Amino acid sequence: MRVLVVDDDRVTRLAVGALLRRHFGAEVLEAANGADALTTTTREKPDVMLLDLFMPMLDGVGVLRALRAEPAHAKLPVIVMTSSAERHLIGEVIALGITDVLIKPLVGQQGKQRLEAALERARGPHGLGSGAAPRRVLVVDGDPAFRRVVEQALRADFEVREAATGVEGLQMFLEARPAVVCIGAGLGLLQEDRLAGKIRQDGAEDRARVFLCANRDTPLPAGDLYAGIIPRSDDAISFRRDFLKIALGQAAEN
Amino acid sequence: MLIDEARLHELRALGRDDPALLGSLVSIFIEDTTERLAAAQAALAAVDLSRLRALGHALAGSGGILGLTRLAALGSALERGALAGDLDTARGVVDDIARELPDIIEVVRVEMRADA
Repeated sequence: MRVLVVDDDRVTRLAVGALLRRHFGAEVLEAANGADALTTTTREKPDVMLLDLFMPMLDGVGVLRALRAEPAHAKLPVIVMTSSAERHLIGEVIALGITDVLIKPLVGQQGKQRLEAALERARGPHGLGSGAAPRRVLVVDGDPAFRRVVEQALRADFEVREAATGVEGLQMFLEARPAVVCIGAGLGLLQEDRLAGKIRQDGAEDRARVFLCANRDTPLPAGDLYAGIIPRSDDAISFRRDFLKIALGQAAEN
Repeated sequence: MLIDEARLHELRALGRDDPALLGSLVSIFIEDTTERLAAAQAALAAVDLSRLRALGHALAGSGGILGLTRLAALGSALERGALAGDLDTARGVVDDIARELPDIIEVVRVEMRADA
């Protein structure tokens, strides 16, 4: 896998490059600014770009816009590296089409695992934000008010699909291939865990990330049915904050 | 605490695959950080807040990736202060960096030796 690391800080490029080589066997390319990133992308055709947002001259958002406007690179998987100071840009870069957002610094076991998960998604054809594909979220819940909260919370950045029952949810999952599934309660015959199990059994390479939407103090069920719990809320702002943090690993928004 | 021991351990592990890595990181870090401090002092004199913000961001980034917790915190504080247009805070942080950088550099030199 050829990974282009774009960051104006030489120390970051060197350290992230070493991490990519050692743990992921990547061939690492480097670019020190946005213009260099576009030139290198055209010349070297990397498989994935790791992109810092805050750079002089052409910043990360500008790079993303230029990539998405160019058919040859419109679907290049881009993993954004950012600091908490740029969290106001996260919605914009998600809308432009990215694979993941990683909060800097990429250190420790957690940083390695987040990078590994992002690279894994970058390899899949329908991963979260792979290339410029729409980022679909499926919410399956018997309560229309909660589905409305999810829709309001995420519609700015995601294509939100809704299902009222487990059976309907499974059908919609197979049709829409969402990157994230939020499973709530009151699903009828095909209840929460069974629906999650069916989705987990799905053999697609780009398996969706499935989250249980439950009360804040609910323990995560044993096993690997769910990637985590996103607290239910009747407030769209609160749900959005939790969703971005838990499903995407993003820092809380202001 | 100037440096995060766990991060240092990770960097040493990376260095086992690439013997030149630690030496390169140390020399680039010292060169770039020294230049950034001088640039921040010049930007303060010129009241150039956007430059101060960029320099704070860079200091936070390189400090963070090397596990230099104190420098990363100072860089973030400079970035936030400049972003908020708070020149007094920015000046205080740049003064702190100027005072503490020699110790930080010494720690980096000692702890990131290839044979450490």
